[in-house]
Parts: sequence; structure tokens; C-alpha cells
Amino acid sequence: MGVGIVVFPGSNCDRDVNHVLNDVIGLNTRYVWHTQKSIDEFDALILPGGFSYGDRLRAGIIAAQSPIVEAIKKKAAEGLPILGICNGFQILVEAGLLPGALVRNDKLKFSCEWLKMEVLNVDTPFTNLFKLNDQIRIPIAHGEGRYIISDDKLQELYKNNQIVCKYKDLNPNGSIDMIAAVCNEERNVMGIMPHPERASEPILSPEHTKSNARLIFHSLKNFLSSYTKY
Amino acid sequence: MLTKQEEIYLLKKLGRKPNSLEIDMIDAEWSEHCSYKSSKKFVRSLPSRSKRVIVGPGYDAGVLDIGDNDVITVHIESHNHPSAVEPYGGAATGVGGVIRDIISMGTRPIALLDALRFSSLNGDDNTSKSKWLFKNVVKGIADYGNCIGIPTVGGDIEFDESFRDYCLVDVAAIGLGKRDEIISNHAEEDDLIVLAGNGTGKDGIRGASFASKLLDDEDRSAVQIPDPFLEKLLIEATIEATNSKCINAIKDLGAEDSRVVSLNCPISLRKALKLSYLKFIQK
Repeated sequence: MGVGIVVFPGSNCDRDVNHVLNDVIGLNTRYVWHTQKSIDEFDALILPGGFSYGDRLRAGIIAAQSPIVEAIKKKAAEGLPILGICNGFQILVEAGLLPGALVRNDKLKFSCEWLKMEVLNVDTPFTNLFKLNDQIRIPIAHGEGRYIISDDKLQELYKNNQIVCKYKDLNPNGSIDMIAAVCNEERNVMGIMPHPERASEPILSPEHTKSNARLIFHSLKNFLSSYTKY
Repeated sequence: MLTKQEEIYLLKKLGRKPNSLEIDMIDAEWSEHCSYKSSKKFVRSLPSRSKRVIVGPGYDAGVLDIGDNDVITVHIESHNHPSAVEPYGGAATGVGGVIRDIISMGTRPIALLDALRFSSLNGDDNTSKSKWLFKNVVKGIADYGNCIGIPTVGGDIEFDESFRDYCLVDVAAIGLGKRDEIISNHAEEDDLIVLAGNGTGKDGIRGASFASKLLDDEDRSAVQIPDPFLEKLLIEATIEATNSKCINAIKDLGAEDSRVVSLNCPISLRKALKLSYLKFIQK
């Protein structure tokens, strides 16, 4: 039981996520290697950020062909909560578990900064402790984070309330409608471009500002404790 | 290139004329980059002894005791010539180089620092080269660090006319580990030697000799093409192997390349080895 942290060759936020879940949030974790074909023993999965396969070809595309992704797809269909952060988001999109695509930032540069995000859906395993339109201070660090989707699919996202977070005030990468996080129709799979694990302890927040980003992980804990199945 | 004096010394010690392979190997070993033959006396003036110093000069990285069985390892290296001719690759492989020295002590690299020098970016003339150097050195450092997930936490920078058409790129890495898990670097007689890293290509050839000469020819093929993804795999594989107590000794092979493996391993690991160049993995 506990949360599985999926590690691909080149993942590099796996240890950060592990530390935050264990030492800050109080959830048990275990690393899951990308070659594993079944993942029955977990209550939730997190795909951490990094540069799986060195971002070769296109961010996330090679990792999305890993044996574990088939198992993740099965678990996603069964309703297991799955969160992809940054590169994990890119992998979930490439695997077809989330709609849309993530392409190079509009300025064609890697961007690394703290910004604000607004919560638009509080009915997911990862946002249930927020109030609607809450703002989250959180850092981004990505070169391929521009979220794009066709117009008709975008309308579907709005209709189904699948846009979980939008950037506030400033669009760091040219994402359509400032989208920062989306979920699937069933809301158990979510991808988020910013890094909540880098904002989960006061010592990591700049200028002594408080970040409430750790509520994303607390929401998961809350969700897991309130559902007997998980 | 060996100096006349060094050639005479070599001839006298060997008692015969060295062959071209021997000259090549000794040229690399005796280069400024590897031996610090002219800068040693300045480097020696730095403080290197204290109660906290567990491993001092002479190894891949210095080891400092920070209490509670925790140690930090520190390594600094310049990558000036490579960065001056190929700023992106030169600076990136500079980062890659210092990180391997940290993992070869059995510690995990956790932070990077850079000290950079360029000529002015705002002068009236001749600033296009320094702008090009500046932009690509910074990008090389950033991309490499991002990919392997090690933050650049600080550094310093200075602009001065004396660095015209040139740049200084010094990269330092810091590692964190446990005092009782430091690699002792004592190999046993029947230990296996594993040579791990990038394939051999047409890049990075004679890097040590190139880095030690005056920069009169812009030999871009002396600069390695960076491969941070491979280095990330190397970091994780090495740390897993050391944690599993599979490793008695590690040696980082920097710009010295495979020619010098056969010299360096016997010296620092006290083991001789035979290399078949035909079996080298090529890019």
C-alpha cells in the first residue's frame, strides 16, 4: 500500500517527491521502476519530473512506450489516482491518458521561475482541499510546457470541467488559455506543469512567502483516507 | 606537446626512444591540465589541512566532515579552452566533468557553482564574440544541470577587457554522503575493472593536451559533445553500485581519455589492465 513513484531513466525529481510525501505529508511511498509490468500494490501513483530519456525526440514520448505505461493505463481505467508532474505530465499526455499536447515554450527557452496559479476544479484527488479560485504560489521549470489542444477539444475540457489550474497574471510558456493542469474526464488522472514538490516546505519559498502548493499532496492524502477502496 | 626538456628527460629515463603511443600518453599525463606542473605551486598555497578535512589534495574530490556521520565532497575544475572554442559544449562538459569526481568518492552530487569571466558585453567594438561566449556558456551550464537534476546554486562573474576573445569557466560541484561510505580506493587482487561512460567518437580527442596549450588553433574536435542523459544514468548506476557495496575503488577519467586509463588505473587503484582498443564502444 502507499504511493508508487514511477522512475524512468532520466527522472530527476523522484527523490524530491519521495521526501515530501514521506517527511512532510506523511504518506508511505515506494519507487517503481519503468520496466515493471504490473502495479497492483499501490493506492496512488506519481510520475515525477525530470528528463526521461534526455527529452530525446520529444519530451515524454520514449518513456510513454515503457512496459509500466501499459500497467498505468489499466490502473487509470480502474480509477486509481495518478498525478504527472512536469515530465510526468508530458508522459501522461504522450501515453494518451490526458488530452492535448505539450510543446516547446513560445519563447523557445527553458523557463524557471515562481509564479501564481489559480484552481478551477476542486473536485479531484489532488485539489479537494482548495477552495474554488484559490491561488497557488509555485515554481515552474520546463522547456516544453506549452499546452495546446484543438478548439473543439478545448470546449470539451471546459464542458467537463477538466481544466484544474490556470496560470494567473502571466503566461510563462504560451499555453492555450493559460492552462497549467488538466485532468481526464473521470478526474482520477491529473497532469500539472509546475512543481508542487519544490514548494512544499517553507525553506524553499522565496522571500519568505508562504506557498500552499503542498495542499496538492495533502488533498491526495485526504482523498485516500476518505475512500475505503483506496 | 612535450617540451624539449621533457623529451630529453623521457629519453634518459626510458633508455630508448619512446614510441608514438607512449609519447601520446605521456603528453596527456604531463599536460598542464592533468599534472598542474606550472600552477601547482600556487594551488599548494591554498589551505588544505584541518580537523574537518578527511581527504585532502591528490584524490578526485576533497572530503569534509560536517558532523553526524555526514560528509560533503568538493571538486573544482576549469574548462577554459573548450569553452572558448565551443562555449555550449565546453561549459556543459565542464559541469559533467566535476560531477564525476563527486560520484567517484561515493557521494551524491547535490549542487553546482560557477565562476565565469568574460570580456565586456557593452563595449563599442568586438563585443559580438563575448556575447556569443556568454550566452552559450550560460546555456551549456543551465541545460546540463537541468537535465541531470542538479541545481546551480551560485557562483560569481566578472567582465574585463583582459578576457577579450576568451573566457574563464570554472565549475565546482558539491556532493553529500556518509562518512563510513566514502570509497576507500583500495582494489583487491581479484577485483573486476569496469570501464563505464560514453562511447568513443571523433569528439573530445586529445582534450587534455589541447586544454594545456596556448589557444592558437580552435580545435573544436578536442571538445566533447555533451551527453547529460548518459551522465545521469552513470550517476544513478554508480550510486546504486556503491550503496550495494559492489565497489572498492573508482577513478574518474576526465579529459585524460582512454589512452591514460591504462596509466591512471594502475597508479591509483594498484591494478594493471590490458585494453583492447578494438573492443571500445564507438558512437
